[in-house]
Amino acid sequence: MSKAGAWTRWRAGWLFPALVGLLGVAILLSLGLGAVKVSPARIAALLFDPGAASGSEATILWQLRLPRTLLAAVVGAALAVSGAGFQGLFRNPLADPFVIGASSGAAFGAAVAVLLGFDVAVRGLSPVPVAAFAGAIGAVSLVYALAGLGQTASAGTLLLAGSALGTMLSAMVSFLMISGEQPWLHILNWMLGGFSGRSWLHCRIALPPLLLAMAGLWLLARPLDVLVGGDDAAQSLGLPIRHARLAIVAVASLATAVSVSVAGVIGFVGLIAPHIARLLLGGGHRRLIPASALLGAILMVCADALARSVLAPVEVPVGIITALLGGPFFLFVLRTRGPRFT
Amino acid sequence: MRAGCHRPVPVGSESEYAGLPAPNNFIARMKAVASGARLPGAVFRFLSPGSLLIRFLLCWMAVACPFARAAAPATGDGPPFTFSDRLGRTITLSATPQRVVSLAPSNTELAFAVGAGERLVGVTTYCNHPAAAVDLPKIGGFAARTISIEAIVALKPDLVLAGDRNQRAVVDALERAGVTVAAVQPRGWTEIQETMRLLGRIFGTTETADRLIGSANARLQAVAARIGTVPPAQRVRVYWEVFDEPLMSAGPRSLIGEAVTLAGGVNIFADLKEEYPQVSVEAVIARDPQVIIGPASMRQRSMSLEALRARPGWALIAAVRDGRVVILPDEPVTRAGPRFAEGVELVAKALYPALFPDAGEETSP
Repeated sequence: MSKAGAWTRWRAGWLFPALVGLLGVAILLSLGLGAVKVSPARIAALLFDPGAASGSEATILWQLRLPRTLLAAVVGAALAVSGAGFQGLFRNPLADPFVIGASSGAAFGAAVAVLLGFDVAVRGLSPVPVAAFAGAIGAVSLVYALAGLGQTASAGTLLLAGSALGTMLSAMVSFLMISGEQPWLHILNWMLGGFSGRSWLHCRIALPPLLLAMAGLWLLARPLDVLVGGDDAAQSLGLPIRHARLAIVAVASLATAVSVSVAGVIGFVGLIAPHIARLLLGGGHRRLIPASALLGAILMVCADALARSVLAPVEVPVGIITALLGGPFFLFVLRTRGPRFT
Repeated sequence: MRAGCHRPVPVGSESEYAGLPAPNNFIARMKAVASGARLPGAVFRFLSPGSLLIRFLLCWMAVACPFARAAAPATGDGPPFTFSDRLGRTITLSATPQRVVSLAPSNTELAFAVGAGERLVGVTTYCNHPAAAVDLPKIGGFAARTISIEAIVALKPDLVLAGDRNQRAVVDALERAGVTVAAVQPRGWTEIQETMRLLGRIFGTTETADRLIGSANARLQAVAARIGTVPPAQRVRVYWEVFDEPLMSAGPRSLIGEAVTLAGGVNIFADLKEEYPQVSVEAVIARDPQVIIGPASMRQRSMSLEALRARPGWALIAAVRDGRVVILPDEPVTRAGPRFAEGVELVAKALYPALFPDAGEETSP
């Protein structure tokens, strides 16, 4: 722990408050932007003065934007943290939250639910997210079992099994969508992801497991650090590799599955937020994970605000914005800072 | 862009199935953008290359092609004659067709309406009206990718009535197989009348076609006369929900938009250019529609007063507050066929029940 360590510590000292501040600004922006624009002063009045809270502005703010923004922030954070976890676990910079089949599993679950006609909302909650969650967890468990992780298999086997099962499941989703023309729009919309129409109910259901999963992965920061050094090194340090892997996969997959079921498949955030965090703060997961969470939240909140406002009153699927917004920025960072994945 | 029109790909396309109306360019475009923009992300992986998203890109290219000339008004009476179809293709008929295949529900309805129903030998699985169409042999769905060229060729048709630009690939394939194809599917009321006239000419039933057009216009004028008594300031603001997830409405350029206008409604999304825009919830709430209309096929999903009330923020909307949520049968309004005037009447009744007391009760959700 030499000069570099001190440098990172010093940087972390101002970076975390700066990221929190940025997230605050992003949330304020998100609350103000959309088909109806609300000024910051008015937002404050509507949020803190119950007397002012009536009319369509208040409804839009309280019942639509606030839950939606909150959900976007937490889902963005969870995807980023899960991405950081998988990248560390697989020592692979291309890993993202969907790398071992969570997204295709969720899509399959959702497609089956829609095709069987289980897509009618009951009290504002549709069975589709539940099916998606089951699909995601099912796919990941299957991949884990198939890879025979406890025995001989390396992280590489897990990755390959995930990719194979993912391809199979996508083919099945495509088949289902073609054989039944009717509901493809619903399925496709769901797969593209977004926060339109998300309510406090979704927040109440999704936030606790997401926050728990993020905390869990943060607690696994130390094993992650060790695993990044390679299996042999980890073994020589006495880490129970098998248990550590299982714990990381379980927690990261929980975060992914809940995110996907509540917001659909939103790409890119889970891939690039951890990379940006790594470039800013280095590879230590104790800092990497909270920094990824903040960056993921900022990115997702901004993307959702733009999705609502660029073409208002038309709404753009948020995944398009995350890719359009995150892609160039990520390439710029890569170009100026160079790849530093360790 | 023209090049995109001639790509021999199975153009699986937008909303080309029963419940939903025709192409939604915006969504297709966005999906196309998404497919190109997501590099290593999940969607890229699970929608394998060459699968759906790619097809959407191609489909959008097809949709973006400038819409070809309207079917040219034919002169003279009955075959042999030459006309140009909606894809700008020139078709020469030497004799009145005896074996006809329809590739769109609206074509099927129009063919029956002009009195050529008994000449149909094949239809799509979505051709459910009139009842006689249901038992005809099926050649596939409405989407180009589900249409079987082989099934069509096996029926030995002497004329195939194709749908819109989304079926371009099917049209080309049939042409290569030596089958006479005419893309005749109309989009708005003007085109519906054009197609009726054309079909009347093709099947030698010009009188029937003219009579149909005359009576439909009379019905539309009767509606317009009653609506004319409503001063502009008292016209009803309407939100038409085409689909719930994604939230999708109908712009003024769609058939639904046309029906709403003809029925004296003020479309809250009249400022949009897209036919079927994906709209934001906030915009619906802010524009405060007085009546919300949804197609009957959405009833099983979420179109009921209580379902709308349960959506976050919707209880505030005038239509929900006043209980003016109306479910209408889909086909007369969403299908560019002979029942359009009936559809406009239904919408007008939903918007101004007091003006149409003879019309029976408002369909309540």
